[in-house]
Amino acid sequence: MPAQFQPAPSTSRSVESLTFTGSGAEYFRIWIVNLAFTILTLGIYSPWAKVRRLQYFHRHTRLGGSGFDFHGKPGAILKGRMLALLLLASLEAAYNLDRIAGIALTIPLVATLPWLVMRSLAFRLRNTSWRGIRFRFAPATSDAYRALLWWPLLAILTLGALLPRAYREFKAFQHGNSRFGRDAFAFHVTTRAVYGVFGQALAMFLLAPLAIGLAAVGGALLASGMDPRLDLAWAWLFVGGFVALYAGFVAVKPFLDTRLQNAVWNGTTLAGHGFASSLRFRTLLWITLSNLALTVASLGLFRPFAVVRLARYRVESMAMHVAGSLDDFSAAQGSEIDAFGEEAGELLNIDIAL
Amino acid sequence: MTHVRTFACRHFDGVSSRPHVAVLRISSDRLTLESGDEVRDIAIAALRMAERSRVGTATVYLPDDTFLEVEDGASLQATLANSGFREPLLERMQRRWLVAATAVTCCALLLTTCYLHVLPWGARHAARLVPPAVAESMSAQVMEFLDGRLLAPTQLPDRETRRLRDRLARMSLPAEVPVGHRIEFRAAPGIGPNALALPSGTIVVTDELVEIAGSEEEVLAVLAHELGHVSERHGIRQALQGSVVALVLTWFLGDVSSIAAAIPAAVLQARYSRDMEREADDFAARMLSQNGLSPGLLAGMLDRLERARLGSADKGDEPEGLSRYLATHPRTEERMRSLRQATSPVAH
Repeated sequence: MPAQFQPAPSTSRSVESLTFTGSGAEYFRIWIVNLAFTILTLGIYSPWAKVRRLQYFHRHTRLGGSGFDFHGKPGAILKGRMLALLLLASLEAAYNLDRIAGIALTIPLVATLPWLVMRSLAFRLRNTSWRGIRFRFAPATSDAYRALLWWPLLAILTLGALLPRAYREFKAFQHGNSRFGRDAFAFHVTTRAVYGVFGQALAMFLLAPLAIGLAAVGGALLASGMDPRLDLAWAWLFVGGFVALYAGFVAVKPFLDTRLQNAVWNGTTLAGHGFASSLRFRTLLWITLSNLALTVASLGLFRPFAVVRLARYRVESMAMHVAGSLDDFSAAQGSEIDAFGEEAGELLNIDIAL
Repeated sequence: MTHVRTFACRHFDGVSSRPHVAVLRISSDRLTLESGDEVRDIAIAALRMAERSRVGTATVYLPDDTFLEVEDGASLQATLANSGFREPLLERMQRRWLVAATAVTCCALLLTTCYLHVLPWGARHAARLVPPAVAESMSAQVMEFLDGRLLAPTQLPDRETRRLRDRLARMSLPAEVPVGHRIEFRAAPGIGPNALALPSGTIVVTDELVEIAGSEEEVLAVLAHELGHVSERHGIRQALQGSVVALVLTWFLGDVSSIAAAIPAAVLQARYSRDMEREADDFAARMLSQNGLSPGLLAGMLDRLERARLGSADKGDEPEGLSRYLATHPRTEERMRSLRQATSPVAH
């Protein structure tokens, strides 16, 4: 008689949108109490603060009538932060002592960084759930080194020419190794598409302002001719060029955020299900700029409202293309749970992401 | 007969994402969950609730790691509260705006105290721990930069610079520990009359400053002020305090814009700089009095410097309005007034 025994409907496709039910006023109180405790305890409270913040945002992100949830333990986060602090302090001390000692310590540290980042991505996902089913992150360690060391290094050595490729490899690493219960996510975004986004950003926000700036210079010089008041022309040129470049600089991040979130999620699947992200650049730019203005004008008090506003827009522009039903996911069992995540034990349950 | 409330809910078993429709019955001390044919008794004390929220459903975690989603969260909370379920203290407190207001006040007070007292106090102590080698290398870099671009070898006669160095060396210091220092004279047509102290104790004096001074004693007064900076380790303290301020603001605003973080950082750092100038003035006033010279000498020198600045620049007012908060030095008028007050005998 219960619903479980009904025959599964033939794979019909439906669209489920994600919704965000958090409110700025409510989050403000969590945020300010967190901040007060964090300052009072000289930062010791910050992992507890982080867990409460993540729980608030996870639980208010809803899909198919159910919220996500976060189960991370503050102790694990505290441990991760202490480890990160210790590493930084020893690095600083080594550099003060002797440059060679500093370099000698930097190399093994950089070498362990991909592993640490992988652990902390795994911590985050393993402690995230929806309808009681946990997410997981199960990459091979060699993938972590490829995505987090090899490609970034190549991007630096090629002065950024391979940066879009490195970004794509990182996202492929992150999305391609994620699991939800027994089902695996897959990543289908092409390198070409990512180059398209970065190329457009470069043209719109660096080359175009540069061209406008140069045109302004030329115009200013022509207008002033041999006039002794050439100084004024230079001043205008300087101001104009600076404004154009800064405008480009401010706008480029929302632009990349928009196009990359859309590309990445439109190219991600979970078993037979797909996702759709439809962020719009102009809306995100407006939210970013008005949030910045209000945060500064309110001496920081607007910040929690700003964070909620941004989260709402980003979450609500996403939808899931469900093949069949959202009710058919199941948790990973026994042998399916990789040793990597579970057997490493408490000591390695760390989260270094600040 | 106690009043029983029932709630429709969805039970998730942690094995599948399929919700099981269930009914929760709560009486004054008892809670039962009916799911299909199964009826379970659950102790209210064994429940855990997700933090309560104005909007959305309530989540109830059961002792067996499964959980319920209850649509009518608000009345569930009210009913459970009547049955003796206690939310954690923090969550109860937090819903009150009064607590939020207290937290805002608390944060503001704590941040102000840290900024005004804790950080300068910490930097004062930490500055003593910075090894001389670090101060030395910091200063060597600055000196190399200045010598390469802005400074040229001094044009002052040897005996004049030697006499200034000797007179300064013979003066007694108001500090308990000797202040290691080295005076460097440089011609600086691009900078004009000025003097600066580097963290290592190197004091750079421009020829132009010596030239506009009315007397040798006035130059000594400026040197005393710079010795104040050296003695109080202002260079290192400013570096420490400034970087903490910049770090905190970047953390707070940096994800939006690094320029938005740089402006308040400059304002906050400028205040530290003005405080340090006042400290150095006090040091100079004490040192001059102790050696039978008048602190008014420094005031006179400040006056000359001010007039030289006004003469060279087209705009030349004291910083007014908002730009006052970006000034690295207190207003000259104010500094002269307090130095001249230090000159007159204290009447008690």
